[in-house]
Amino acid sequence: MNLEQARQSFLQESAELLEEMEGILLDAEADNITAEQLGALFRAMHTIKGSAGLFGLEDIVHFTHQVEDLLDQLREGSLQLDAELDGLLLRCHDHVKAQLAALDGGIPPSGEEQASILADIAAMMQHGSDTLLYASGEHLEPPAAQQPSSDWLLSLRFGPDVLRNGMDPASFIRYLDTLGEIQAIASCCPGLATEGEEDRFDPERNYLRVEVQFRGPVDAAQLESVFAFASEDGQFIISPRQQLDSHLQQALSAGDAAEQQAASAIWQQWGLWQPPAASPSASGADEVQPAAVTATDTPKTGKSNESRFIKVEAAKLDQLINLVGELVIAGAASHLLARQHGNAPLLESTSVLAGLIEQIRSQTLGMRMVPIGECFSRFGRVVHDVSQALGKDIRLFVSGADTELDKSMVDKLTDPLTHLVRNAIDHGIEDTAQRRAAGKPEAGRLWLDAYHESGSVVIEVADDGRGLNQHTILEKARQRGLITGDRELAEQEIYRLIFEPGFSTAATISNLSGRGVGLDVVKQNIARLRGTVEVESEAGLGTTFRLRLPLTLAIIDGFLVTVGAATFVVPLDCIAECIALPQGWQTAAAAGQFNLRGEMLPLLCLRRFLGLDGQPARRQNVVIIQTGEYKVGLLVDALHGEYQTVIKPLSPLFQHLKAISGSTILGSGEVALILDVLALSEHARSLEYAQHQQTALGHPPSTILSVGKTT
Amino acid sequence: MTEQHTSPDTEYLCFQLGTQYFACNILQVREILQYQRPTTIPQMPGFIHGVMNLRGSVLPVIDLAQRLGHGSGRVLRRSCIVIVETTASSGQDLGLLVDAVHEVISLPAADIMPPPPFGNPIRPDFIAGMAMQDGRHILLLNMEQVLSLEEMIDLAKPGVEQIKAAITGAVN
Amino acid sequence: MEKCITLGAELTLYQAASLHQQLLEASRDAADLVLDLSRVSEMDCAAAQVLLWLLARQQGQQRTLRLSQPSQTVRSFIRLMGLGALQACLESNDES
Repeated sequence: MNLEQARQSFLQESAELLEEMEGILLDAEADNITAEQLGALFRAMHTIKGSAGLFGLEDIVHFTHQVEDLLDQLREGSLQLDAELDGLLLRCHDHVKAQLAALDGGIPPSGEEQASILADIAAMMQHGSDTLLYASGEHLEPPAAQQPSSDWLLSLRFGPDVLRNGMDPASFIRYLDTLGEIQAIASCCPGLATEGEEDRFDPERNYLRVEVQFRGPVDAAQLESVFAFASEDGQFIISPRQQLDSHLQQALSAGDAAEQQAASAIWQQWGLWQPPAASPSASGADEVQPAAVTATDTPKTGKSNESRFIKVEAAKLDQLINLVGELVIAGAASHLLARQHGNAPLLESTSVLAGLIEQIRSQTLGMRMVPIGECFSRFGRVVHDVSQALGKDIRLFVSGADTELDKSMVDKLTDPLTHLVRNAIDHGIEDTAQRRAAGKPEAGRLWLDAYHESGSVVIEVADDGRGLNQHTILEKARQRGLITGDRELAEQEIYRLIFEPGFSTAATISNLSGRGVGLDVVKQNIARLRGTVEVESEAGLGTTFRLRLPLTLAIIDGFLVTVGAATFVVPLDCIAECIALPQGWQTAAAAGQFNLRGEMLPLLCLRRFLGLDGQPARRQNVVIIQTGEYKVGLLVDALHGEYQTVIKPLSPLFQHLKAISGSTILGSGEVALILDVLALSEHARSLEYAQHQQTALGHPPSTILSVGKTT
Repeated sequence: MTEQHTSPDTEYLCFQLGTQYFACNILQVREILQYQRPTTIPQMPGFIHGVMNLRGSVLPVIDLAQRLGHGSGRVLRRSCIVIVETTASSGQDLGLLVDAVHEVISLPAADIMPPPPFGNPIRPDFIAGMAMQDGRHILLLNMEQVLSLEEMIDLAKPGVEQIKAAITGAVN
Repeated sequence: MEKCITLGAELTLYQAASLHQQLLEASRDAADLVLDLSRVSEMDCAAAQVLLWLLARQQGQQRTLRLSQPSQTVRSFIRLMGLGALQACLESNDES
């Protein structure tokens, strides 16, 4: 905005305000004027004064200031609006109008008229109140918006052309000063650094950036309007004092490194900002945080990490990720075409393109990744509150807070994690007396840990409580009819029972947990995120819940395999290795097990499991998939290499499909299905377990192998 | 179009399954595609023909003949996939495999007869009405019912349930 | 070696370019600079940043800049804008 435009907009705004003022004055008969109307009158004069100040129109500032004083008395009730005062205000109105008209080439109002009005105002105010020191030139009382004073933080990034456009940042500050109290102000010129002999300083370019702490009876809109004339190429970050964190996050990430540093230095000097701690202990593994202080401590460290971030609307990011997904597909398609045509230079070029797309993809996905610490930090409070409610002394230990995972996943993890944490405090950790009796430290300990493992994120919630009682679980499960007979169950099988709907082992139902809703919901929530829950427990020593989750929900690195004509995608990070099925292994394969360098692994025939038609290929391959420590061989026909896979959700029609987690579009345009490795491996595990059972009971294992065939 | 009507009649897309003619409201039809083999989804009942890629979205393709209990899903020379959108599929597009697509016909409401109470070739609740056109008997389909997601999900379940039963049977 | 320059009454955008030129030359010749600001009766941000620029330049060459006998206008402007760097250059005996 250049100066002329700014002036025009000032004139227009003032004309509108004057019109409103005139309307009110003409409408107001005797004492029926409302407080609202008085407010409007005051605002009109006040705004014109302020804007005039910006343009250095001292005459108008001086005059409107007097009128403002008069209106202030009227508003305070020391003056009544009678015909005489109404007339005087109309004269004031006319005078300001004439002053403004003079700016636009009109005839300037006579000095006599101004003197006469000012004298009348003085007389009127003297009459109304003899306490008001209206004559004092220094007297600039805060404007009278009815609201109470509040504290504000301002980071004013005036644009480079503000001086050339005839505006002086100091004018804005002077005006701001009239609205309240500038409690602290500091300017910096970050762009000034002289670069050797080459002096790049441009005396007409603005380099100033101003940081302000302000207190006054204003709202955000009023403060913003102060800088409206310079807002075109400047950036004015204005926040209430309460939003210190977000203000700094925004203000200190604006501009280049030099500017960020200069602005940071100011806020640091004011004691409102701490530079990120460089001490290794902050990022070290076992961050020991007593429950009570975690809640207040963690946000502080979090803040310093966030200060260099730019806020982006989540929807925009999602849109970008969708587009990148399409780009990945299109890129793969053109690469495929190039390969089919065998055009070497074209192939070369699509390879380069593919490399770049891969980088864009991982960068874009990286943007969605956030540290889990954000989610962990709230548990300090949960632990504190819950343990206090139960009269237990519990310490929380958080580690791996830096571990990153998809933002949308972090949001969905909060509920299940909260449940597990409450569960651990309520059921897992004994009360002080019991702990003492068991010879344990009186303070219970709770660990939250996160780490990456073979393409998944693992989150552990562990306690050093009494551990799961297998006997109690079995008894409860029989009572609830979850299991029948006296069949022996393996440890993991027993633990799995606690995730059954309607299962609760707590003898007493507390307010916090133990209503029998919970662990089943936890399991469902985690399953919805394509994750699993494992339990480990040792009587008297504690319990660990281990959540295993995929890194992201949008795109995965896949590995293409085919069974007959059907193409499937196996998430690459679950694949330990691929081998060709050696000749003569077919019989071993039929038994559902095979020997991998001395390790017996379950072998799942994908064709049989999915009930696909056709005969197995003459040469078959085994994909060894690994989830956690568990390995399973997957028997397929052919291997087709890596493929970047954009996950396309399947219609709800397929919601009951267990072994397929989604679909993707291949370069050829065909749809391929993504195998749900966790489900497959779980299935193989239960087969293996059943096999052991049957073998133990003396049954031949062949009955088990037919299971997959039932479709 | 075979006939011109001046009244604002409802338009239907006419297609064929075996020897029987069917029609559905043209407003539900988004496009008609030449048949291309979709990707088969394992463990699904026969009426779910597979999934296909339509400009980056993955759509289920329903074998309409099997859904109507009207023969097996053969693919013929003139087979087409009709992309439809119904409220029953919660706004999601679905592909329908049909043997052949014919013309768009315009029918005044008066020409549409209620289905006879019995002796229908398909489930009565699938039929919205009947009409005669050029000596052909045309069944107007109630797409909301035919493509009821709820019902189809239910039908798609047993296969999986069977597996589950088999697994738990093996485990227990 | 120290050089003293007395600046004019008006220190605004309109003088900024020539002020910059004048001070640039001065800083080439002299080691330490003293600016006499006693006559300044008008000042704005354009002038303030020329002074800040000069300060940065002097410091970059291990030289000093002192602002001598600042007028009331200069003092209040520095206070208004929170120009801590310039405040530090004011001659201590002049501070009130």
